[in-house]
Amino acid sequence: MLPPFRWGVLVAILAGWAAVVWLRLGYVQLVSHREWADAAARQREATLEVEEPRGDILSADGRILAGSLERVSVYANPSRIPRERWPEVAEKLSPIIAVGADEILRRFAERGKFFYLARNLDPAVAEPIERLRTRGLGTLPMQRRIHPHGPLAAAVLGFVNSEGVGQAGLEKAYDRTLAGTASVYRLLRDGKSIPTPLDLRLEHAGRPGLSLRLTLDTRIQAAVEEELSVTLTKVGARGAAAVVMEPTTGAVLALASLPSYHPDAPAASPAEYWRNRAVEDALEPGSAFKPIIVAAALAGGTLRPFDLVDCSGGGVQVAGVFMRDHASYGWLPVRQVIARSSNSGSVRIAQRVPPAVLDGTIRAFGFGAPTGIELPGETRGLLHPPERWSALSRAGLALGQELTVSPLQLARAYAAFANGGFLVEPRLVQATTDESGTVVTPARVPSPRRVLPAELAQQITDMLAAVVEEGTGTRASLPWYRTAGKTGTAQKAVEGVLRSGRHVAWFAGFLPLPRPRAVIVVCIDEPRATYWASEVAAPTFGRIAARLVTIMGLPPSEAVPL
Amino acid sequence: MRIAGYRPRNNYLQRQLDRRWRQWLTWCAAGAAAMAVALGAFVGPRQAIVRLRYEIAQLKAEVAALERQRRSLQLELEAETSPHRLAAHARELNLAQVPPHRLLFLTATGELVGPPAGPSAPLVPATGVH
Repeated sequence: MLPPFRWGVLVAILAGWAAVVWLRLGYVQLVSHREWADAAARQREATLEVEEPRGDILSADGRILAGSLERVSVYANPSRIPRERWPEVAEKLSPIIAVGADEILRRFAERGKFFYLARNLDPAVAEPIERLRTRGLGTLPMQRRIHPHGPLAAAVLGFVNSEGVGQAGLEKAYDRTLAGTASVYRLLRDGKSIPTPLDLRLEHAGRPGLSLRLTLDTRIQAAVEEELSVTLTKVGARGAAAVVMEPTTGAVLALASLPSYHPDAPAASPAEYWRNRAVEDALEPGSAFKPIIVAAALAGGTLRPFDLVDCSGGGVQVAGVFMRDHASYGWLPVRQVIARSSNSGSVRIAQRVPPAVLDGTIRAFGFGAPTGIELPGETRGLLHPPERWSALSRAGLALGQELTVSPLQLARAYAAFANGGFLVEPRLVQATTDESGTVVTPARVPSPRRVLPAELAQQITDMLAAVVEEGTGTRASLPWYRTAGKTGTAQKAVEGVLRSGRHVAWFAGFLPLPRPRAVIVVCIDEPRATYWASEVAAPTFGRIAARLVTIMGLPPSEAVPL
Repeated sequence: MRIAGYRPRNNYLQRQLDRRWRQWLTWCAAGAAAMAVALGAFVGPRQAIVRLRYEIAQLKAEVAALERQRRSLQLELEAETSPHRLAAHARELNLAQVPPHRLLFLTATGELVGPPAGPSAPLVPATGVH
């Protein structure tokens, strides 16, 4: 039996030790609890950031124009792998990523630091690579953007870079909508400290990217691109663009720009091909602009539909400059001035219109300003204010030479003739939808603005129908479908000087009359074999129109009961 | 008087064996058994939950893999049936473009209409003009 004193000492020591333990326990549990809990969590848990998929781009007919696939990239940092382990790591890695061990070793030696050993692999390779438990070797999730229809509508869709960020077209304009936000998960590590999907807990919910439903129809787009490509090859043009638009809503059914590129590999084509010519190019419209001049004169009251216009003399003298015509037509009614595309008649009509009225009408038709389509880099075209006009300006405008327009701007202006005088806003996006296809944001459809009285629009339409029926645009005609349209052959101005060897051929029109369902604008840039719009652009318009009526199921103007 | 360090020599006394350890051992065993039951009751279900979670995680991974496969096939289907591809293989697929004059239309009143028989109005092709 210990003496009481010794017992006392022993008890005091034990009590002191217990007190220290309890104090420490209290400190750990109460004061530094969070710190220790976090440390424990770090040890047994791993954080996983999962990129939510980028939204699709869908056509009006429900086809996927651009979609994403989950893939992984395998990275290596040879400087963090002991050199003596390189052969072993390469040997084990080789069958997983289907790259030869010798090749892996060569790249280790060549690159030295962080690099991507393989990209775009199936996510199933991630686990075996994790199981190699090699510092300096791992996988990173990625999204691969796929365009199942190849180069179809490439200029509209645009492309993303290797980081999945939109660089052109709708991918760029709607990057924030299409890109999702990443979700963060916590998951447990197993006994070997390897993360397992066991006990996966969502820490921060991300959002998958929203999809875009476009107004484009893949069948129309493909037909337009095909016909445009035939013309491009046939006449050896520098480029070509075409727009197909619903005249009443402004919905763009096709928007083609050639030459094009494959959005899966944009770097394989020159950067010039990435440009959307239908929206970004501003070119002289030539005679395709004459109906606007006539509309200004009719609206301003300086011309009546049945007036006769002097088209004699084979041309007209303006401010000391003689502007030639194709022939001396004598006195022609306005309808024939347009049908025969008389230069002198158009110039004389324009000279009657006060500059302010002419400028006001041209601007009311949307020229000199972007149309507001949902694409980056849209041109506003060139249109000087009247105070900067010279004595030749009105005559120049009458011939479509002292301004530049984009094919889309011209389509919008012609839509105003087709729909009874309303200026619509062209649009490509119908709505943004979530994964289930539910509409999240319907497209904003601005109310169309009246720019021309209905009867004037009808009169201009009749004049344009005469162009196709008996004038310069007969090659654009389609049997049984009444079509209205106008040719335009313009000399291109290079650095402010008109160049005779460089032309633009246009045809802008709509069909079927009397209730047009589609406006089509064809623009051929610098055709070589022949440059006349009547021989280059009008036949292309006709072929596109023939394909369009079949696809859209448009009944002929002259339909008869069977 | 007390003599320090003196111990009486009482070897002649037969000391009784202390058998209280058995009771102590019994209590210990009972305590251990109770602890085992308590732990078993706690850990057993927990283990079952962990096992279930593992199975769920595996199934989720399988679902994700199948979903990836579905997506991949969907995009492949899109590519195979794209208008360009169909146009390129139109002959093999026995497809032909329908010209507009071969289309008939059903009106809202149930009448079947189409283009009139015979050629449309002749048009003179324009050449070399604006």
